[in-house]
Amino acid sequence: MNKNWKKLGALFLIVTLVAVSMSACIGGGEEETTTPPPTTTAAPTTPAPTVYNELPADMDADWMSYFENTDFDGDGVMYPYDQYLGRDDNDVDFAARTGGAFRTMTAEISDFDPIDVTDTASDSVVSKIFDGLVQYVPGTTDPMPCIAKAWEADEEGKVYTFYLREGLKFTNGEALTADDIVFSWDRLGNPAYASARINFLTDYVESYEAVDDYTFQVTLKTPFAPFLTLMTYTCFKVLPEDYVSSSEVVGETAEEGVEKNWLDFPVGSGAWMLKEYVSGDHLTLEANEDYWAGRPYLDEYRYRFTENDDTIVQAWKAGQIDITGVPASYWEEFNENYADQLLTYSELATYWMYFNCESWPFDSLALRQAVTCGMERESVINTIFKGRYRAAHGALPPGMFGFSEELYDEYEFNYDAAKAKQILDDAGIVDTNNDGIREYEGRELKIELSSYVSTTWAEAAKVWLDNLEELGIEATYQQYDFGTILQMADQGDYTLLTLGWIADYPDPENFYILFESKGIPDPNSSRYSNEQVDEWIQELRTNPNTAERREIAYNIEKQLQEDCPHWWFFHSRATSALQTWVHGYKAGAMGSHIEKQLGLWIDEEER
Amino acid sequence: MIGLREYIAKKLAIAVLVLIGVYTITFFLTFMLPGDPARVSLGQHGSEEAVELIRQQWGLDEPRYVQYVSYLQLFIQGEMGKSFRYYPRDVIELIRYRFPVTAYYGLWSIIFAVAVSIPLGVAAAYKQNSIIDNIAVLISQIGVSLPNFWLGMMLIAIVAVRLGWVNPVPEVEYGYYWTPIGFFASLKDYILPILTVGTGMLASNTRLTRSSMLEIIREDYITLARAKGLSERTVVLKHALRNALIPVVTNVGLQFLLLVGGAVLTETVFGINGIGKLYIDAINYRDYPVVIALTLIYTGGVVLINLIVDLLYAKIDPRVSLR
Repeated sequence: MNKNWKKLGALFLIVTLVAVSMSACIGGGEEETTTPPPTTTAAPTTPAPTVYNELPADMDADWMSYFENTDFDGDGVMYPYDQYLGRDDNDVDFAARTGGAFRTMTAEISDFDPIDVTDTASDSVVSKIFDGLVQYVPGTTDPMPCIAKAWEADEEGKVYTFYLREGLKFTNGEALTADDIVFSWDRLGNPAYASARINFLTDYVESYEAVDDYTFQVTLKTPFAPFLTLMTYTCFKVLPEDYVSSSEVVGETAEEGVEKNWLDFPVGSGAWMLKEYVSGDHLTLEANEDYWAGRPYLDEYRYRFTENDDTIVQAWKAGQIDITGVPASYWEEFNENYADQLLTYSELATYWMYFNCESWPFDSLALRQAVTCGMERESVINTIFKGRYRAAHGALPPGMFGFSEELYDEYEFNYDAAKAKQILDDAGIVDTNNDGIREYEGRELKIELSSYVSTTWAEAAKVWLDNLEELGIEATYQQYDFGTILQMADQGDYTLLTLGWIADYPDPENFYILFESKGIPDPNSSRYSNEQVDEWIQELRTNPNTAERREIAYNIEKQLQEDCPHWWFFHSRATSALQTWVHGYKAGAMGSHIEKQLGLWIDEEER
Repeated sequence: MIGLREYIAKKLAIAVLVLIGVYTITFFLTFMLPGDPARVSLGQHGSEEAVELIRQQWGLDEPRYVQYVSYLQLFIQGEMGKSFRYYPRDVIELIRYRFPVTAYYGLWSIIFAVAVSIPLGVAAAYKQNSIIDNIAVLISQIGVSLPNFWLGMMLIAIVAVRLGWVNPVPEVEYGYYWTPIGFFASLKDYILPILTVGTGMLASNTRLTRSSMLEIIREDYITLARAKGLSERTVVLKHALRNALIPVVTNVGLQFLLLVGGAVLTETVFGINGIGKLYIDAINYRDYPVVIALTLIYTGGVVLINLIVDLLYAKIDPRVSLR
């Protein structure tokens, strides 16, 4: 509505001004030659554009310039003038698109407290109810302002100052100030809360304070290049201090436990508010009409708790829900019948098998290399995974900063049975007693491929067992439930173990914590240790120079390719199928669950 | 013959012992599961520090016997502790929200099964080797052999998706099914799970009713009743059926027991968030408090239903007395 009035007002103004200038021109003289309308720069003829994201006057010139010349959401409007951050300013047609509900089915949502969120279902809800200092540009992994309208870092990259938007409110009317951020981070870092993500704060942040109501300053322990993307993480989101502290009881230690009465009525400053939650049944969010970036188009975002993938697909086909994933068994059908309704994006994830680098037999580099090129990769992905994933030749997924196509193409350990045998022969790992099985350090090579429950891994394993047999290694395949798999990883109770890693934040450093010596045994469950790599990782962490970081990442990837601490398998792509009446759904490499979906709208007539 | 009161008191005393025994066994079994609940909850992305803090919060860092006793204390006070997965939510709250839907389709499944199986079984026995009899036997065989979840998935694929007669996932407002109107109106949405669960029950009940009736009908006292000149209807319904139902009542009681646990597979297939799903999820997520609480509730239910069945026996069969 406002937009329409503004358009009319602007039009009226322009018409008036043109009329005035025309009349001035015409009334000026009786000469036959018409004089052009006056063009002076002294008096502006159009109104100055409003600056919605006003930068503090005393900002460092470089930082100010950075913000003034950035178009975060790529809609053609520079940041200071961009009113609908995250939505194309030309696209915002509230009148036509407002209304409707988006219906989804998801696993049970277990947490409303940002500091406890560890699963994507809960993350989806919490990311909509709460906001943080920064967020990702929708559908991408680039940080952009959210609660903070601008920020500066000191030269070293250790002290960050965030300038908050003024006038932000929580949905219960409480004003949002820097004190709320301090309160929220205090909770995260307080052991008595036993936050699942406590180390995200304590590992990197030295101190933080509210300089004034709208200025929040963070001092890091050491410069941390990915700090800004880390700030997008759910655990750093902002809660209302008054509301939460008055309805919460927390003990002195973790043992005393916590009571959080506000969990039934979570209040945030996000684009959505909790409308209804029935444990075990469903959850409904409703639009926050006063959201600073404009309210979502939709009135409601609904979650029904149903986990069975097959059932969800059937419900989608019957029109009960608006979006579904595409399980492997439906892949071909959906590509045939619903091809233009599919939304595919590369996830920042790599799936692999850990070699146990500390114990027999994979403490042997030769064995690791041989098995790496001795088991089929590309062909298995094409047949069993129907080609929907990309084969992995290293730790970093494509789309991650630091991923090198060059290294990918030059990979030395593509499937080559002959090469694998050669490596083993050269290393003296041979079959001395002619029973078809090689020996290493006096023991027959009998190993187990341990994996979590998955029909596709089981199918792949059939191929691999044959590959290994050909290589002279006797292998069995065994499935375990996920809890057991984690225990095996922690205790080193395995030879080859399937797992994967999904990025917490889009920086290579987040993947490399799995290859650092100090990360043994968790998350470095392969127990890989290389001093040079450790040094590189630490440098990667602290050096802010992009070009240098890229080079360091290249070196690390190259080393990892050579050392084969994991059997690299694939980088996943997520695919969703949307109903034809759904428009504007966003999903980036960090997953669709963290998106606010401000631009999501439903064509009611079509539905 | 001992009195009703003493009988019940004796049964209750035994029940308490059974519950404590089951609690003890369950407690130690769950703790024998590989995998640490805190670690499973955090997944791979949790730090050592976070895992340790959460263990403290959930009381997992205490010695086993201390945990054993503290849970026992909770139960005696009528509480069931906090869930691990949904901390700090109470286990009772989780169960309370999921119980209604399981109870709903469970009850209807039994009603359906009994309503169909008993008349069918009686008719089959009465007109042995007739068409009705053959149909009944066929249904029993199929119903007993069909895997529960397969039937469910077939029903969804054909009835819900292909034919579009019902929604694949029940679309009823929570709790509506326990209102007077909703109790019947929600049948449409839950018809598939009811059929799925009910078919298996129906099959075994039909078989049992039929064979039981066949046996009874040949008994001397039936022949005597006929000879006395009683109407066929009285003979069949009042005399024969009453006795034939004894094993059937036992069977239905057993089926109730299975339902108390919640039809896990059915709930998984139909996306129903009932007790069955809560149970299986709790095991996968190592949510010990929920596993222990549900096991105890289940056991309590078994004991209660056994008691009711015993009392029903006494009513149906005058030869059975309360001992």
